[in-house]
Amino acid sequence: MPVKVGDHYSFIIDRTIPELLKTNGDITGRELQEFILILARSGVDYVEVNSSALAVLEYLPNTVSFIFRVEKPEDLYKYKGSRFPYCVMDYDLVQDKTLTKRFSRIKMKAIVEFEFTGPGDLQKLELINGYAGWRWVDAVRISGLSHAFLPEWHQVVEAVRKLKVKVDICPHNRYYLASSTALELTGKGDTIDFVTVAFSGMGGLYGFAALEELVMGLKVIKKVEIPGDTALFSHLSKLYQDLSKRCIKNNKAIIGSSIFKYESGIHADGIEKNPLTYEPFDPGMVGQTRKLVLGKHSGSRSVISKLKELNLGIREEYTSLILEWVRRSSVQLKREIYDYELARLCQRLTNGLPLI
Amino acid sequence: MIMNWPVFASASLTVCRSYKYGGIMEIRIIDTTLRDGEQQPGLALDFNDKIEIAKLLNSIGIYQIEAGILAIGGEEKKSIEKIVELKLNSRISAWNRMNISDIQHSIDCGVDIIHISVPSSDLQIAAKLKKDRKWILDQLKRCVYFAREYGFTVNVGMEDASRADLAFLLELCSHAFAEGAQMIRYADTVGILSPERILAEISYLKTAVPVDLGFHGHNDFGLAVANSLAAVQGGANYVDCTIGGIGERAGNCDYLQFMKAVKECLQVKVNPGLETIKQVEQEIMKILSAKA
Repeated sequence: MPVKVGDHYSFIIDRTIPELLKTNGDITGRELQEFILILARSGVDYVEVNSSALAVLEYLPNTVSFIFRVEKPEDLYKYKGSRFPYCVMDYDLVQDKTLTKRFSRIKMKAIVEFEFTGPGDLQKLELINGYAGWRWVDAVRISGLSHAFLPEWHQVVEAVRKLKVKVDICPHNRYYLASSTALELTGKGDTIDFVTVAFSGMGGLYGFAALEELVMGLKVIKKVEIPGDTALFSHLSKLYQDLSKRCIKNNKAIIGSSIFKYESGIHADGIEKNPLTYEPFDPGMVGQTRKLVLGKHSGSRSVISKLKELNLGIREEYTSLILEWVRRSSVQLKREIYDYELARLCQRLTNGLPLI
Repeated sequence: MIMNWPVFASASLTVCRSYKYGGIMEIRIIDTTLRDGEQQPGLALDFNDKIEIAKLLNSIGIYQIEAGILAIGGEEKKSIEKIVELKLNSRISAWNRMNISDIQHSIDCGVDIIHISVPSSDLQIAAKLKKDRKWILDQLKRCVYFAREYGFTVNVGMEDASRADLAFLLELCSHAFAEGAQMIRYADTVGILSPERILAEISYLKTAVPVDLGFHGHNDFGLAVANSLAAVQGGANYVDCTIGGIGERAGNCDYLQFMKAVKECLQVKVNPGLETIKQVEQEIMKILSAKA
């Protein structure tokens, strides 16, 4: 189901699969299928695959829509008719006349990828209008857009709106603006028809816009109804790390494992009163849970809450003593205090033993 | 298309120059690695770490170092006092809740700038403080007046501004400016802004109140760099960053990433160069990631 903004629909394309296969050649068909199925359930409309993916996958799940990436002319012979509503190929390949003839014969719909490298490329967008006469070109994917920002960004939007073909954007993350470009253009409602992203922004030279950031940005910031189950992002990130052999940073937006941990007294106090004071959305929306940790910045309220959470029955007058120990130990150890360490401390206090 | 705006030789503490509606302006970096950055759960810097990081930040010409929260006391207080004693070129500020007792700690410590954080959204005002807007305005005036009476430069941070009523933000800015606040910081506390919105809101506030504006972004949706850049486009001349983008939840605006974006997207020179920033970032990251 595409994303509906106003009366306009935009489809989300995910291009993680070819990138995953570039980094790990040992991925099995079964592993890839599981990843694809969850991608589709989390809100992706089309999963982009290439010939490497087809070589690994035993079959293509019926419940998922795919886009086939043509990387070289021979790939076209692997094209499996109605299984792929779209092919995507680079602009350079479109110059191959033999290839374009074949496209016409098999009556496929194609997305032509065109790289927009810098401000000077704005004029090149005019060229894209030329494709409108090619019946088999259904859309143009404008990739790159690395520099695209205000005020240039407005000019890009204006230029995109004038195109006579459907528009797919695939922002690159060279200057850390990819997700904002994807979000602002998709959130406009009448500007683009497809937005191409990758899980955790994986791929290319600089990375792409991150699927999870776009989807959650649309849902929370732009208040757009998302048909997918975003709680699957947590599961998806575990699979992604297994398959890519890469670690996701623990503070990575949306999917980092520590983003719902809270420690400082001010935050702990606010979250206890109303979690929304210091959280942009409920952790359950992305399949995570919040966790109070104790450390250098903890306050007495945090200690009381933690003791209660761990069911450590200890007299309240010990709170300040425990807090002092927590802060001191955290600085010495240069990390948070683990729950078992707090339990051990409480045991000592209960038994009348001195603190260590 | 982006135009090549004139670039001037950088002054000692000026990071770079950009444009605002055709004019020339400076962007000053406030590094909050030692305050908001350190609030990343699990991070705990000791006295020596904080001093070392402050010196490294000073070495790359950071305009202002937000050194921490004095009200925490203990080692945190001692380290801020020591950083102040070092008399670095970077200006040293301390973060304070909106109460006289916190501010008194900062006054006693002799920091260069007293930052007062003012909850500005109705959510924060009601749920966290159980107060109302009038109480906030009264307390703001009282606190800024108190710090100014001692001759301190005061910054006011509008906490959770991105979920606040814009009309109330304007009221806060007007009152803070009238009481003598030198800079007002718009904080996107839970990272829910998008570039177009921050551009519009900063432009609006900047036009309405003749005070310097700053922006404090969070990266909850991966938008911290984009939002900070948009804030500059809107007229903010102070931007909060942390080394490595550390901070609560998904962190703050990453200093190196922001400088790269500024350089390439606004077409201006940055001072110091990105390589120098990268080297210092690596040294600081070593300190931050060291475990006992």
